[in-house]
Amino acid sequence: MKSLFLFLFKFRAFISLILLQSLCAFLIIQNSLYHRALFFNSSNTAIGFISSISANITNYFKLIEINESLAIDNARLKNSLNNFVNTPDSLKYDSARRFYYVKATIVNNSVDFRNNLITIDVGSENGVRKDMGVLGGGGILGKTRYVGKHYTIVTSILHTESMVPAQIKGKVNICTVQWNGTNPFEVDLLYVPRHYKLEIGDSILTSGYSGIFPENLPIGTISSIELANDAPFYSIKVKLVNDLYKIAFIEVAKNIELPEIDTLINQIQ
Amino acid sequence: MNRYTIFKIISFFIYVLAQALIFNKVVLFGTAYSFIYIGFLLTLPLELAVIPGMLIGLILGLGIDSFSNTFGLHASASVLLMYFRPILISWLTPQGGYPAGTSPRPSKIGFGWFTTFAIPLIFSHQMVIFFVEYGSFDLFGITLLKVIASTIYSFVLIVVIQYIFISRTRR
Repeated sequence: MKSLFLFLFKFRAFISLILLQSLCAFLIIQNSLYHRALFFNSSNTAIGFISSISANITNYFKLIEINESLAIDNARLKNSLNNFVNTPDSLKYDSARRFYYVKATIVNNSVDFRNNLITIDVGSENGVRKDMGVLGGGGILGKTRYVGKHYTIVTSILHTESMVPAQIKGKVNICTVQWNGTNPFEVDLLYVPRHYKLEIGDSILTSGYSGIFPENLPIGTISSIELANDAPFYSIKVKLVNDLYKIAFIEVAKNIELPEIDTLINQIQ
Repeated sequence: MNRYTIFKIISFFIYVLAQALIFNKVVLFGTAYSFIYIGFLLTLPLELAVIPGMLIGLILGLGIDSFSNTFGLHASASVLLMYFRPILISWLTPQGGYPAGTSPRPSKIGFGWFTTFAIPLIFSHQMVIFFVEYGSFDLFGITLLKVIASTIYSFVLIVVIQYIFISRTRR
């Protein structure tokens, strides 16, 4: 017994290193596997508050870019409103009506890591729930992940785990957008079978199949197409319409039918 | 609680806020990241024992993690850094040793000494940060480039901060 204690005492530094590292590993794995976070993140009110002060200051220096992106967004909305007013089609089921939007501001944003998260200043008090779509800068931004009372953490589209169901306008109805972790202006378009004829510049829109994002929102345009001889699918790069470095004001899309869809899916399972 | 301890506690919070609100956003060419909070860990007194050192590293790391939403990543890297630190100090300390309470700061202990001391520690810290964050060894080249670029960038900033902001009269 004495020699055991002597052994433990001799290697106390190494043993406590192992213990502390296991604690850290537990925190990291808890977050990445179960999408559950403990106390240490910015949906915490105090930390969110400090970050929002900093965001207020930095947003002041980005005002020109913010105004510009809002103007672009406005123009796009006016154009689509025009289509809507001129050709009212009561037979067409318009998925956009299922969504309500909550306005929010980005408090903390990273784009340079492989798995980027965004903190925004709305939370459960504003009606935000887990797995809601987040839009900004005329494109899509991500999906809510941890919802705090006043702040929410969003899985950015620049996160290797985030997958968005998409379509190529007028050509392919089912494909998926995913980031490969290198260039923050480009995402990959997956699962486009080789028999389609594609061109550089084709626009990529949301398909609305997940029920998270409204249908027909712009994601980006095709910037490069490659087709290996024996590959079943194209490898396509898509340039994002929005620049994630510059976005400050965003919307959270709230699907009012999602609870019903979820109950249906749960009944099947 | 002497003056030095109070000074260190205040600078702890300043380091966390500066890292979270300013230096997390200062990334050069999407490759070089600045982790200046390592400077706090490096300049703790030389005779600090390994276990209290690792606990300080854990707390500081969790503070940084809270702001950057990395959940234990910085804590893990800082604990490892604080484990290696006394080992490196024992290699670098000359026969006679240093007077009690000496901080390894470039202006105090020599720039060459500080470089040999800081570069391997910062490098080990960045290795953990980037390879754990990537979760795999694919894109090994890009990740290693980020590690090396960030090591140099962080080191330069840490040295500059030591010379500019922390007065020479302190130990």
